[in-house]
Amino acid sequence: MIGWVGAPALASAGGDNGGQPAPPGFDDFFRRERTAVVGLAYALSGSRVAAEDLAQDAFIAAYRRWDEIEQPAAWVRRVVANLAVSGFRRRAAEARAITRLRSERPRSFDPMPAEDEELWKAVRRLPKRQAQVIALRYLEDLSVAEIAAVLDTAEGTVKATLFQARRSLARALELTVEDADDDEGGAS
Amino acid sequence: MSPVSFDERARAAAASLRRVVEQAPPITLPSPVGPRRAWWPFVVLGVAAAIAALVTAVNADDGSQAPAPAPTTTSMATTTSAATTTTTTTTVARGPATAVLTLRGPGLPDGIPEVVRDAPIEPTGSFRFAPVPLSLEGDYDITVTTPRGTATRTVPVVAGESITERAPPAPTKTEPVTLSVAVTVEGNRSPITLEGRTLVDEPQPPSAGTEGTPAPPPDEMSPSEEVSPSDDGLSTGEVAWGVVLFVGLALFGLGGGLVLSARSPLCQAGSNSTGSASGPRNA
Repeated sequence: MIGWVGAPALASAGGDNGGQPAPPGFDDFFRRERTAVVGLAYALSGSRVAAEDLAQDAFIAAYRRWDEIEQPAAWVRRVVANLAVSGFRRRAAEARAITRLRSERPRSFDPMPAEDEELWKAVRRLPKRQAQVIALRYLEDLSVAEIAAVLDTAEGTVKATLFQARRSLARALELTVEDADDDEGGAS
Repeated sequence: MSPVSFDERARAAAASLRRVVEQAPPITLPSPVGPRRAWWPFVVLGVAAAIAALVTAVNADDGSQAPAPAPTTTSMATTTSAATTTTTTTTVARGPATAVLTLRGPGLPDGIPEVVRDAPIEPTGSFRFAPVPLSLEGDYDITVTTPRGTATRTVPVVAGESITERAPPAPTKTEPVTLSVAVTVEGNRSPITLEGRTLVDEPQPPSAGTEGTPAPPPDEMSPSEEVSPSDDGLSTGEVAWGVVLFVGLALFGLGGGLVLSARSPLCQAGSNSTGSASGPRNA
């Protein structure tokens, strides 16, 4: 298991609750969503270590506004998707992570297969919104409606963006694009 | 060989990325979460400090413009005297126009029983008296008069035992003394402190006299010593410093705010994103 800071640590670190226990439901939410959110950040930022910090920032934001957020899973994905595609924030998170990791024992991550890595690199070269849509579609396995909810945009916009992103990636990677029925839900 | 579809490649890449994330070795975050890093206090502090600096510059009286009125220490033939700065405070009524200083004491030049100085009171509440020559220690009666009130204090000017090593030798028996007179004027709303400084006798050049020979008293109220009303206003340098301080501190505050706000994901997420999203299927 990834030694991620848990909700109790969040609560004890002097958040808005002044050291009170984590709000009800946050701990389960955190443990349930953590890996997926880190993956989303990784896919969009390209940095494994920065993804940890970006996801942590998103969860901290959710923690502080826990009582106001109706759909935290969508909300935290929106936050991390925005953070990850922001070059400034991504670099800042990476710098923080590198600084932090220098004091720790060396770590190594299992690399992805080269062709998979190449695909994600191509995704990150897309316009920000297209990259977000692709990551949410294939990595998070969300439907068009769910992507629209996460990104707070219209479903038609998501469809169009997804179409453009697929076409661009297929052209770049010399792949074929099949007609997908995006209304039927997730990609799998 | 059939062409590979994008969907297949994308699903495979997604699965690969998930494996990397899930199989990652433990990560230890020594101090992962700190207290909320609010950025706006830095902006507020910076702006407040800038305003304070500007107000300070505006309210500064002419002390900064006066020619080095710092207490001067000098040594005489066999004794050592330390110049004394004494402040007397009293309350008089608010009055316009002119403040009058009358000084009587043992150290005034021969033939001059008292020194009378007047200075205009500026709208900012400041005034400045021209230098007063003092040569000996003793008690001096200082009377500050405004059109609506008079305050009198006896101010001791004493010889100190300490010796300032860097003090220049006394060229004459005219002992430089600095006096400060502070007058608090009560207004209708809040007290305003009027402060007169620069009651100093500039040291005479060595050639002005010999030890034991009193130097000729300085010209009383010579034109060069009189204070023109414009002297109480802000100089160009003060205004420039105020502007520089204001801009610098404001930039400091804004810069700190920007740096810290970069840490806040809420700035990126936007306030309108709260609670409006429907959850994904695994929410």
